[in-house]
Amino acid sequence: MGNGQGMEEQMGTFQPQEIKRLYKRFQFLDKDGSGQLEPAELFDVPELSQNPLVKRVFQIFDKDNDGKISFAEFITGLSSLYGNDEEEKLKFMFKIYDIDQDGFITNGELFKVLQMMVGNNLTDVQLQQLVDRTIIKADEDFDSKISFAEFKKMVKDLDVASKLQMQGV
Amino acid sequence: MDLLKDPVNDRQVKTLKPPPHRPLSRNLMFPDKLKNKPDWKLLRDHLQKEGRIAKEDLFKLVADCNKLLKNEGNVLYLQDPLTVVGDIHGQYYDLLKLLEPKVGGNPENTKYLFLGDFVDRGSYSIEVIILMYAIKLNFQNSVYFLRGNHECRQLTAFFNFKEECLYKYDQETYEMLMDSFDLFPLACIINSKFIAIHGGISPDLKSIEDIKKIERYHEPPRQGLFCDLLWSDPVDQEQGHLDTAWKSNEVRGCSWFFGGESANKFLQRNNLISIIRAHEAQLDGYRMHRWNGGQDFPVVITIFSAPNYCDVYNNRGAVIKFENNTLNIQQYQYTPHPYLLPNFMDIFTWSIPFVAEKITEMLYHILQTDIQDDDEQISESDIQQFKQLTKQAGLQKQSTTGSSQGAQKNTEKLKNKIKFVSTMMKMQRTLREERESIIQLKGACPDKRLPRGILMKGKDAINDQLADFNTAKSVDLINEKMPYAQIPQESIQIKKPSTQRKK
Repeated sequence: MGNGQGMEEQMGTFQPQEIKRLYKRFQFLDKDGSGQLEPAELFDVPELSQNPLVKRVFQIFDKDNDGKISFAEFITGLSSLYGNDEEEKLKFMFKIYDIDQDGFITNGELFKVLQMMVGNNLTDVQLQQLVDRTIIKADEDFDSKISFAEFKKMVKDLDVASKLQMQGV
Repeated sequence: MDLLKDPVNDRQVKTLKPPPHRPLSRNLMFPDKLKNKPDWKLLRDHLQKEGRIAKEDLFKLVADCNKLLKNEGNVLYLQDPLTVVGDIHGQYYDLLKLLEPKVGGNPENTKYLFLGDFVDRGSYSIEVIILMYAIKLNFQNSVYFLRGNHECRQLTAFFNFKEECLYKYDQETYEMLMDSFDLFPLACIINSKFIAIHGGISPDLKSIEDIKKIERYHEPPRQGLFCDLLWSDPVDQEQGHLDTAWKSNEVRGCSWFFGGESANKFLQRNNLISIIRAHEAQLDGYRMHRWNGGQDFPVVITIFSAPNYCDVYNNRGAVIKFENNTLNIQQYQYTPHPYLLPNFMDIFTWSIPFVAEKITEMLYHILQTDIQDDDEQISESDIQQFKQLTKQAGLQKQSTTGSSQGAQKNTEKLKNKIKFVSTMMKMQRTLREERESIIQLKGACPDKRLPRGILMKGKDAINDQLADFNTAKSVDLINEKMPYAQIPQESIQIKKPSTQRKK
C-alpha cells in the first residue's frame, strides 16, 4: 500500500477544505519550516505543556519512527481519531499503552504509562499492585501480557469509541 | 506457588512480589493427607498474596462448614480459655494479625468465638470468609461464629460484600454465602457467667430460653428479638442512665438503646455478670461500660477487632482473652493492605476516561482555528504546495474554491467540529473529576460510602488521633443505620434439621 494510496483512504475522513485547513495549521506548527513536525514544535504549544500524553500521541503518529511527524503522518493519525471506525479508535487507545508497539501491553509498559498520568498521587508499590492485578484479570492465555484481543475484552463496556468521538453527533 | 511472571523483564517494582497468577489447585487446597479438610495454612498464605480459589472449591468449603453450623443451636455454651473477636469487616490483613500467637492465639491451640460482622466495609471479605471457614473445618470443636447484623442480604447488598462477590465470583456464589450466613448461631454463654452476642439485649429477652425458641435459618427481621440481638446498643452514658428502660435507637433506625436498669435486670434474672458484644467501633478496640461503678465488673464490654476501620477511623483493634475466669484485652495496630481502587476498578476502566480527555484536549489545542482565518486568505501558492505534498489531484476537482458559499459551509463545518471537540473535552473533564473525587489516593476508603470531603478537612485541621476517630465516626454515622427495605425480606429457606434445638 503506497503512501499516496493509504493517504487517500485516510483522506476519506476529511473534506478537501478541512485538509487545506489542517495543512495551514500544520505549517503554523512547523515553526522551522522543515516540512515535518519535530517534538519540540508540539511540546511548545503552551496548552500542551501540562498534558502528560503528548509524547505518547506524538510517538503513535510517528509511524516510521523517525522522530518527526510528516504531514501524511499528521493526517493519518488524525483520521483514525476523527473517523467513525471503532476498531481504529480501540487500536489507537491500545497504542497509548503499548509503548514499543509490538502488539502487547507488558507489565512495565502499563506501569510507565500510568505513571505519566498519576504522577506522585500513588506510590510505586501501589501502582505496581494495580498493574499486576489488571494484568492477571485481562490475561486469558497466561502469557503475562495483554494482547489487543484481551484489551478489547477488558474495555468492551467502556465504549472507548464514543469517548474518542471527534465528529459531530 | 505460581506467581505472575515477568516475561520481558520490564516489571518495575521488583522488590514487590506479584500475586499468584492462577487459583489454588484443588489437590493443594484439599490434600489427601488432611482427609477432606482444607490446608488452612496454605490458604492463609495464598490469600495473603491476593490469590484466588476456584468457585467449585469455595462451594465445597462452604458446604462442608454448613454441616457443622447446622448442628449448632441458637445458643452456644463455651468455657475458657477462649479468645473472643469482634467486628472484622473484610479486613483480611488484620484478621491475619489477630490470629498470631501473641495476639489472639494460634488456632491450632486456641479456642475462638467470633461475634459476627465478618463482611462489608473492607474489601477482603471473601478472603476473611474462606480462611475462617477453613479454620473452622480444621478445628471443629474450638472455632465458633455468631451472626452479626451484616451477615444478611439487606446489608451486604447495600454495602460492598455483594459487589465483592459479583466481582470475584457471581450472583450464585453470593446467594450461596447468604444461605450459609443464615445458619450462624445467635448467642453464646461463656463460663456460665457471660452472654456474648453481636449487638445487645432486647425487651423481648427475658431468659436465654427465648433465644432458643427463635427460628434462625433466615434473613433477620427488621424488629423483634432476633433483630435486637444483632442491632441494639448500650446507651452511651457513663453510668448507663436511660430515661426509660428501653429507648428507640435513632442511630440504627431500628431496635433499642438499653441502659443499666434493663441490663442489670436481665443479668440478675439469668445469673450472669456481663454482656460481651461488638457492633460499635472503638478507638481503643474495646470499651468497658462500668455502669455499676468502678469497683464492679463492667455491665457491658464492647470489643471491636477492625483496626483503622474503613482505612480512616485510626483506631486500634482488640480481642478479649478469657483465661482462668479472668478477662484480658489484647490490642493491635492496623496492618497495611494492598492498594485497591473503588469497586475493584482495573487500570483501564480507571485511566481510559482520562486518556480520552487528554487526547481530545491535545487535538483541540493542536487544531484550533484562528478566528481571523478565512478561506479567501488561503493563497494560490499554499494550494500548489498542498497539491504537491498530498498528490490529491483527483480530490482537487471536487474542491469548491470557485464557490464561496460552498467554502463558507465547509469552514462552518470545521469550526463546528472544533467547537464540538471543546465541548466533549469539558464534559470528559467533569466526568473524570467526579470519578477522581471518589478515589482517595492516600488511604482509600474501601467501600466508597464515607463522604470524603468533610473527612479530608477534618484530617487537615486536626492532628489528634481521638479527633480523627470522632470525625470519622460522626461522618460515618449514616452508615450505622439500617438501610431502607429495598429487597424482599423472604430468604431462600433451607431444610431445617430435626435436631435444631440442642443445648
